[in-house]
Order: sequence, then C-alpha cells, then structure tokens
Amino acid sequence: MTPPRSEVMPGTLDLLVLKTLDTLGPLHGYAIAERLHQVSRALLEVNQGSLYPALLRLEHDGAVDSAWGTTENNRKARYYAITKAGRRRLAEEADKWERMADVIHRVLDGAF
Amino acid sequence: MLSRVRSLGRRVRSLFARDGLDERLRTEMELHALLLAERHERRGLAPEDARRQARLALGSVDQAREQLRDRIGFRLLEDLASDLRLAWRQLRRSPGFAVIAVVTLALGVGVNTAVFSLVNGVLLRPLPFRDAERLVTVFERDKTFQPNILQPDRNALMSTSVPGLLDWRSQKGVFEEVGAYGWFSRRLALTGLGEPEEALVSQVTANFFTTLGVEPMLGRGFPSDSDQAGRDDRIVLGHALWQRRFHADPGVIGRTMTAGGRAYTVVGVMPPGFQFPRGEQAWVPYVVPASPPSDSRSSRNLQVIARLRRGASAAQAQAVLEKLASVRAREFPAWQGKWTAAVIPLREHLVGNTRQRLLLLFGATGFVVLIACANLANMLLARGTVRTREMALRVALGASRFRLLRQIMAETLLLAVLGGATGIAIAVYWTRALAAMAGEILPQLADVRPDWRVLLFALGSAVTAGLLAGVVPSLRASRADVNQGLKEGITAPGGSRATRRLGGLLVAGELAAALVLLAGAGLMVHTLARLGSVNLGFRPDNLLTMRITFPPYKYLLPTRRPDIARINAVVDQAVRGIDALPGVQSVGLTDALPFSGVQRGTNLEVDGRPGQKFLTHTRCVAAEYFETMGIPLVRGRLFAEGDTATAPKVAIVNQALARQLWPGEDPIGKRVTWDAPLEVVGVVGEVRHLRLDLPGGPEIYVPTAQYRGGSALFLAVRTSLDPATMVAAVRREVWAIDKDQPIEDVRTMEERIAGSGSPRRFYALLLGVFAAIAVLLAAVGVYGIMSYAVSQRTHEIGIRVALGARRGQVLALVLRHGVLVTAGGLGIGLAGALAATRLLTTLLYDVAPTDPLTFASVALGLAVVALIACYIPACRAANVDPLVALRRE
Repeated sequence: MTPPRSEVMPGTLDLLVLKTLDTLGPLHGYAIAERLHQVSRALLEVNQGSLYPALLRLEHDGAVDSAWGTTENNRKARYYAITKAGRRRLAEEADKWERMADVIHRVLDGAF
Repeated sequence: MLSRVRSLGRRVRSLFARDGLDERLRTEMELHALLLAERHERRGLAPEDARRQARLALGSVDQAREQLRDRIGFRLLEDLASDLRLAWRQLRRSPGFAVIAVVTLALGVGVNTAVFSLVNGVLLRPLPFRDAERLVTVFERDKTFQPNILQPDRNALMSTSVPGLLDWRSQKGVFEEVGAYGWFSRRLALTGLGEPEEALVSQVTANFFTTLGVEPMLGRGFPSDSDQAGRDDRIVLGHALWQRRFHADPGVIGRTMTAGGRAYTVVGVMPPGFQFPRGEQAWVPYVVPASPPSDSRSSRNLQVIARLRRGASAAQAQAVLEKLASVRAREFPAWQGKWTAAVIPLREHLVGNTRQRLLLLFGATGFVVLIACANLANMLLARGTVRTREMALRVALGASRFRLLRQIMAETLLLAVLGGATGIAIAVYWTRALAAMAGEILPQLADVRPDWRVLLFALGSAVTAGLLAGVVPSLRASRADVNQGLKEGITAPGGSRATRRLGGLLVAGELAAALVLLAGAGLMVHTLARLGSVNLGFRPDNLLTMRITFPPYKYLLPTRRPDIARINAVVDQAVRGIDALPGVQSVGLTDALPFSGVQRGTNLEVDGRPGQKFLTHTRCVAAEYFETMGIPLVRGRLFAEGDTATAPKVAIVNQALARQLWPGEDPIGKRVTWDAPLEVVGVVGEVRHLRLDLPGGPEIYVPTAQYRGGSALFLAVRTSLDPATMVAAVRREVWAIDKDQPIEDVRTMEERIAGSGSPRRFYALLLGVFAAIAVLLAAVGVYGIMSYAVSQRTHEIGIRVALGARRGQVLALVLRHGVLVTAGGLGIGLAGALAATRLLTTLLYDVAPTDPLTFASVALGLAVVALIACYIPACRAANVDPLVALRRE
C-alpha cells in the first residue's frame, strides 16, 4: 500500500522551490511542480495552486528572477532562476530547517 | 540593506501595479493548467475531463490571489483602498445626497478656513523679519497715568528720549541690538522730480534695518556712522517710491535727491512690501548725539525696537529696564520721576486688539462648521436607516461588524475629503476678497495668502468634521439586525424613532448656534444704524478737502520762527482764487479737520481761576471755515476781517467748552489764556472730530491771522457740484501760486467719514455673512428632518387619514415635532446669545449687548424661517393619499 501522502508543510514550499532551482537551474512553473513530484517519489502533494503565489512571492522578495522563454514544445512560458540572494536564503532556510528537525527529534526521543 | 530597500520599493509599487501581478498569476496558472490537461489527455482522459482535473488540481485563481496578497503589499492600506472604491461607487449611485453633503461641508470648511487664513496671516505667520520672535518694542511707562475720555487713544506707554535710548543700549546683557525710529514721521516735500509730492519719511537710527533683520534690495543701507551730525544726509527709499519716481532705475544708488529742501544721497532701496512702521516711503537718519544734555530726557520722541539676546525673554528685559528706570528716577526726578519701562513683543504691539476681534470671527465660523457637521450627521443617519437592508445582506454574507463600520466610515471620509477640497477652493476665493477689505484695518491683513498651514487646517478640519458627523450614524448603521433588515420593507419603526430624536436634537442645536450668530450680526447692524444717524455737528455733503503744507525750509524766518505773514499771504491768495471758481460756494481752512486723524490740544488757563488748567482741543481756522463746514453759530460772532495780527486776540469756543468752563453763564467776553490772553467772541456747535462714536469734546478756535498754526492746513471747499469734479480746478489754483506746493490727502468729507467706519463695517459684514450661512444650513437641517420624519410616517398617516383624520389634524400632528424642535433650539440659542454677545461690546455703539429689540427681531425671524421649513413637508404629509400610503407596505 502506498504510504500516505503528506501535504507540504506551510512555509517549506519556498525552501523546496529554491532548492529545485538551485540544483536544476532555470525552470518554468510546471517543470518545478513535476520535479518536486518526482523527487519526493510522489510522497509530497504540492498544492499546485500554491506554487505560483510562492514563486511570485519569492520573486518579489528578490530570491528568484524570472524571464520569458520558450518551452520544448515552443510554448511561451516564464522561467524562474535562483539569484545570489536566493542562494543565501536557501542556505539560511535549510539551516533553520535542520535545526528545527534536530530539536523535534530530541523531544520525540525523550531526551529531556 | 539594499535588498530590503528594493523589497520595500517593490511592495509599494505592487500596491499600485497589482493588476500586473494578478495578470501574470493568471496567465501562468492557465499555462500550467494547459500542460496538466495535456498530460491527463496523454494518459487517456477525455479532453474535458482532462481540463477539469487540471483545474481542480490547481485550485481557484482567486484563492491563489489571496495567498499572493497576504504576503505582497500592505493589507491594511489595500483594504482601505477597496473600501474607498466601494464608497465612491455608493456615492455615485446617490448623487443628490453626495452633492448636498459635499456642499454643506464645503460651506462650513470654506468659511472657517478663510477666516483662519486671516488669523494665520496676522497671528501665526512669522513676521517678515529675521528671527522675529526676538524683536520687541520698548516703551517708557507712566506710573501715574489715568485714562482720559478726551484722549481715548492715549495710554500709559510713551516713546523715549535720546538719553533713554542710550541707557537702554547699554543693557547688552538682554539686548543684542537696540534701534529706534522717530515718533513722528514727517511728510517731506520731494521736489525737482516733476509734480511735487510729499512722502512719509521716518527718521531712524543707523542700525534700524539691522535690528529688524531686513536687508535692502539695492545698496548697502545706512553706514553705521549715519546718525552723527553732518553725516546724516543719506536716504533709503521704499520700493514703491523707487518704482514710481525713479522708474525702478537700478543706478539710483549714489544719486542725490531733495527732500524737505535738503539734499540726500540715496544709499539703499528696500524690498517690496517693507513699510515699517507706518507705511513709510523713505527713511533718513535720526541724529543721535553721543552725549546728550540731561534735559533732553523730557523730549520723548524716539520709538525703540530692540532685538533680545538669545535666551533672554521680554519679561527679563523688562525687569532689567525697570531696575534701571528706578535708578534714573532718583537721579533725574524732574524728567524721569514718574517713568518706568515696558517691553512688549513686536507682534503684540503691531496686532493690538485685532487679535480678539479675529478670534471672535474665528469662533463664529466654528459655529458654522458645527452646524454643517450636524446637518451632515443628520443626512448620514437618514441614509443609514434607508440602507438597513443592504447592511443586513452584507452581514449575512459574512462581513464582520468592524468591516461594515470601516466601509461606512470610508464613505464618510470620502465625503469629508471631497468637502474639504471644495472648501479649500471656496476659502481661497474668499480669502482674497476678505484680505482686500481687511487691508484697510490692518495693513498686514492685505498681504494674507493661503499657505501650508491653511491647507493643512482645511483638510484637518474637513476630516475631523466628517469623522465627527459620521461616528454615530456609522455605529448605528453597522449594528444592523440581520433578521429585521431582511424582513422589513424599508426600516424598523423602532430604529427610526430613535433616529428622529437624535436628529431633532441635532437640529435644535443648529438653530441655537444660528441664533447666536444672528444675534451678533443683528447687534452690529443696529450699531451701524445708530452710527448712521449720529449728528455730526457739521454738513458733510458736497465738501472737498485736502491738505496743503508749508514746508519749514520755505516758510521759516531767519529767526527760525514760522513766517506767518507769508503763510497767510499764500492762504489769502489761494482762497481768493478758489472762491472765484464756478461751482465753489465757500472756502475754509483749519489745522485740524474733522475725520482727518489730526488732533491738537493744549492746556488752557482761564481768567479768574489761577493755577487750574483745562485740557482743550485747539483749532486754527481761516477764511469762512464755519460757514463752509456748516457749523452753526450759537452766540456772538464769527471771525471777521478785523481780527488781524495786530488787533486784540480773540477766540471762539464750542458749546462743550462753554458748558465746562462757564456753566449757566454767557461765555461772550470771558477771557482765557493760550500762549497769550484771548477774549471769547462767539460760541459754535459741537462737532464729531475723530470718530463717529466719540463726542468731539471741548474745542477752542482762533484765527490763523493771529496765531501760528502747524505747518499744514486743511482746505475745505463747499461745492455746488459733485466735489470730486472740482479736484483738478482747485489744485490748479494752488499750484498757480506755488508750483512746488505739496497737496495731499485729497478726499471728500463723505469719503473720510465712510473710511473711519470701515473696521466696524468689515466685522458687521462678516458676521452677517456667517449668520446667513448658518441660518441657511439650519433651515435645510429643519427641512431635512421634517421630510425624513414625514417619509417614515407615511404609512401611519395613511392609516389615520383612512380612519377619518382631517387635513388640519394631520398637519398638527406632523408639525408638533418641528415646532418642538424649533422652540427648543431658539430657547437654547437665546440663552447662549445672551452670554456670548458681550464679546462684541467694544464694537457696539449705543446698543447694549443684550438689546431686547435686536434679540426679539432675530429670534422672530429665525422662528419664521424654521416654521416655513417645517411647513413644506407637513403640507406634503397632509396631502398624502391614504391608498398610496397603505399600499406602500
């Protein structure tokens, strides 16, 4: 039986998107969603309606840049690329996430 | 850091460019949906199913938009923006309401702002001098002064002497700079420049301009040695004089010109608008001897202005000078014994009692604003009850009460801003008109222009008024009961009764405020009427007057006494020439003409009363003065040809003096002494001399042939034609004798009298206008609540009529509410007016602040207006067709 799909925790979508762009280079929105789906081995359900607001927010905050480009099927699409500030943010957010995970582990392991 | 700024910039921009982002969001999501649909299709789904799946997966674009909005832009401002947009749409749907509301608010705000402009110009705006708050005027104060009805404009403050100035200059602890100007500005004849003209010239110390902190526009001003004897032949010109007489020639510096028979070198031209202290047109140095003799302390003709040191206050300076004054009083008891010092900030000195008057006007406009607010509140209340259904619907659809409140307040705010903007436009227009009128009273007022303070005030008061008016109606409206609202056709009767009560209260308040203003205006009108019927004591019609001077440099004997013989010769020749003109009935001269602002007096001694002195006004008259002026002879005779320089000296007294000196006796033949013994040969009637509202007081007349007058005489010409048409002819006669004879102040007597009354007329006019606006707004308010009440009770009235009520009964029923409100308002108003009108006392003449006639008439007038405003809707109610009314269910 397939393991239950977990929803993306709020706030972490940014992190995932940034990491995807950092690893794979510039992508358009649909490709990012596909990639996330692939990488998480279909365990992550990305609410696709949240993806674009997230992308636009990231662009607004200066973490990604966007530009018009053409897809493989010659469609016009907006491509997103991570910026230097975005990379900095990725590092920060990843770090925060690691530390948070560490704390939760410890609580769950009853280390208190 | 930079990225934060960029981020902020993007956020602000997104406020305005949100449509662009929305657009992008939509296009991208559409593309994504397309791609998803294609994938589903490839998997085998039918095209429509594929598309549907795709759309489901993406979710609604609107939700995405909300998510976007949450992080981008400022939530609060965006909501405000959307509220305002909604408010604008709502207002567009009821244009009548919007227009009336905006106009009401605009009237109130406009009037208030216009008067605030005046207040700002006089009281708030910094004086056009550098660091003007440190400028003070310094006076010597007479410790023994008692007010005197004969000289009402005198008070305890006096200018100082040269030693006094030097004393004060030595107080470097409190004063940074001490300058002075002569108490009398002289009219000097400017000759050699075409038509002879007199200019008002002030004698000032060399540091006068530096003390004030004003730089000349051209030239360097007075060098610091200018107030030494021999070096005082420099002159600084005023801007207007420079433009007019020197044709704005920039090379005027260094040129010489003649004033008062003396040659001066021009060393400066002042910037436009500078006319300190009294409209002067030029300034020359006052010679300040370095070591003046002590007895010159009694010659108090220097008016001192000083700049305080930083950190020193006027009170501190006064304390220091008072101590110094008591020292000097001991050293020089004869000249300084009764004198101490007073230091007054310059602005206070310049403004005088105009401050109270302006604040009074400002208070009056405050009333008008309050009335406008009340009207607006009433309108909003009525509108609120009409929209209960809409509000109930909104609540049912999920709007919180706070959100409703915010939306209604946004409407009120929008009205306020529109009203404020219109009000500013009105105010700007009125300010210009007001300033032109007020400029006669106070020269500073003529220069008033709206500045940033005024605009801020206008917007602020509009918004405050709007919020004030809107608070209660908004709270009411947002409390909409969902059940009731959706059920009822229009409104719930319970709610509207409370609204009616509140509305009635507001309108009663409006009527009260309007009555107070009306009472004030009525008192002013009454005063003007009383002044109009004052007996002047002479005939002011068809009288042409002007001033001719006999400058000392031409009419001075080598003994430095005035050349009386020559003056009189010139006068005789002029009189004969003018008398011969067609259209001239008679000619007279005097050195102190009524309503010329000139007053002369002396202490008279009376034969048989040794040691007693009587303060009396003096007049030197020539030719047929009394006949020309129309002053009646009561006893004895007028001056005649026989009263020459060598004949026994004679005098004519007026009835006031006769009553004072010899009550019950015949004054003819009595003797008095004024520089020389005089015999009384005639008694004439009293005249009003300085002002309409002041009795002239005791006067004694002597013929110019027997007495030296001042160096200026007023010519009075009684014409059979319109005096204004005779001006050129009379001037020609004078110039035929001496082409350099300066002629000034050419006006008809009626113009003089009218001019003296202009301050009162100004205030009366303004109060009248404010009262009229207040009455109009109050009437509209009364009409409004009555209409509203009628429209609410149409159903009830229909039932009553159907049950047999007669027209009269219906009228009475409806009018009862209106009459109650009117009576209540007038009652409060009368009480308020009785208390408030005492503020007008200084402006009134012969009218008590609680004058019953005035109060009764204005109360009656307002009652009539209010009742008419009640009657019209009541008539409508009485004509209600019961069928129509009942069918309205």
